[in-house]
Amino acid sequence: MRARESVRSLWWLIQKDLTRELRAQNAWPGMLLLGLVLVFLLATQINLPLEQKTRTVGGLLWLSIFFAGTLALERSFANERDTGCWQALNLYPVDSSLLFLAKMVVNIVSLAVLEIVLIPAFIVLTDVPLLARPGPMLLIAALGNICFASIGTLLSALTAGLRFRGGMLALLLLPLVTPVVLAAAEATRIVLAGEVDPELWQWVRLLAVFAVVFTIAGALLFEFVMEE
Amino acid sequence: MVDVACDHRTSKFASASVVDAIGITVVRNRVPVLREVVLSVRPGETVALMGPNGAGKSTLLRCLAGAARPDRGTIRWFGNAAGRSMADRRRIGLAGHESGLYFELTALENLIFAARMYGVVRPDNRAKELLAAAGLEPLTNRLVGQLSQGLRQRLAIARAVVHEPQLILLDEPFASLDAQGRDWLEQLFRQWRRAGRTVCFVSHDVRDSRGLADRLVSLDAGRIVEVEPTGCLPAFSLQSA
Repeated sequence: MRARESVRSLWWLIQKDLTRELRAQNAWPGMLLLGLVLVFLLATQINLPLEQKTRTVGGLLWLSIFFAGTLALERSFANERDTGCWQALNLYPVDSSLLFLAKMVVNIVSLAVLEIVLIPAFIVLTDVPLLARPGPMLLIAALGNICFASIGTLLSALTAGLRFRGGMLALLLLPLVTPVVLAAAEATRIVLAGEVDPELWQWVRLLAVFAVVFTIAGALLFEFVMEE
Repeated sequence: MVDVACDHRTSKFASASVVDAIGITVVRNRVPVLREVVLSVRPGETVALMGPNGAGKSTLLRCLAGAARPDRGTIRWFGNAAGRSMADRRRIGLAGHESGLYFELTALENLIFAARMYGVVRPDNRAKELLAAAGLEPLTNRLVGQLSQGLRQRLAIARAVVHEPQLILLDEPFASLDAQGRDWLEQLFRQWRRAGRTVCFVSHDVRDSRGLADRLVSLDAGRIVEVEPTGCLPAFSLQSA
């Protein structure tokens, strides 16, 4: 009974945030624009043979997703703070871990939207067949998004209350997310090389461990972040 | 009268209070905002928190609601430590200084969302009922961002009581309200009194407070300086109004 209530609350929290974003377009247009500019700049600057491009494009893709995605993460709590909704959220009889998970899911959706736009843009601009093996790529993207969204959601909540929060999220996020970007980039490189390499699964396992650890840590720590 | 409030610290009736602030001290940026505040609000009582700007009224209200954690002291709701029990949280409603409304959602959607979060059985019906009572029915599908400050204030109060809480906490509820809004809110106060709800509100208006509250609690520089039943008007409040 309690689990069903929690799932319902989670859904209403997610629905509320997605409705707000679709109506007001607070974060997505800026995020997509920055992502496209980064992809355009990076793709046009790597004047390399296709084989070498294939090796480097994974890292560039994940760096673009990281920088552009930070914009969406930054807005996820700033809006709540600005209108006093944070206080209201804090007082609802809902476990704080649910609030964290709801925001995290919304951020995962934002990152997925970003990837839906950036990956085809990279393919067009670099000729690298990023979706030649869609299954492993989807797995890497899903795990990368969970890692990035879990750390980002927690840090976004932490920095939203700061008076001078501009750029603070990116500064705090960068060192924590570097292992995730590295693992996702390496896994992407191996997938693009077309190898069935046990090394791929090592990187994927690493991403999975990060995803689980960061999500659990975020859900547990969120209660303290929410406090005034 | 301050001593009367202090008696609640050890009173055997303390657990019968709806909310107790026991030796609350709040420090923000090394400045004490509240100092050893002791206050108990009994069931069915309406208490007005008064005082000059910076006296600590809103901070005390937020502490009572569990929205701010005191640096020292304890808040108890219905005899239990504040914030722990989800059941107790369902019995408390706060309309803070900021509206707590989502500007990108409609008036109806905001109320339905709050009702769902509080586990109200028929959230749609309850939200529509509240909008009608608040005179906001024609604005049901209007985005909150398009509403005036006064209409948002009415909606924020409606949101705070969507789950029919036993303890209602309001921060300057009359601010921004027009004559119609004030009439509506005064009527609400009377309804709450009849229904035995406990209300604690922050106000600068002595007349409003005298007409609606059972007790006026005056704060100054983070301390309760006077607790008066509404039969008489505290001299301090007259100066600050």
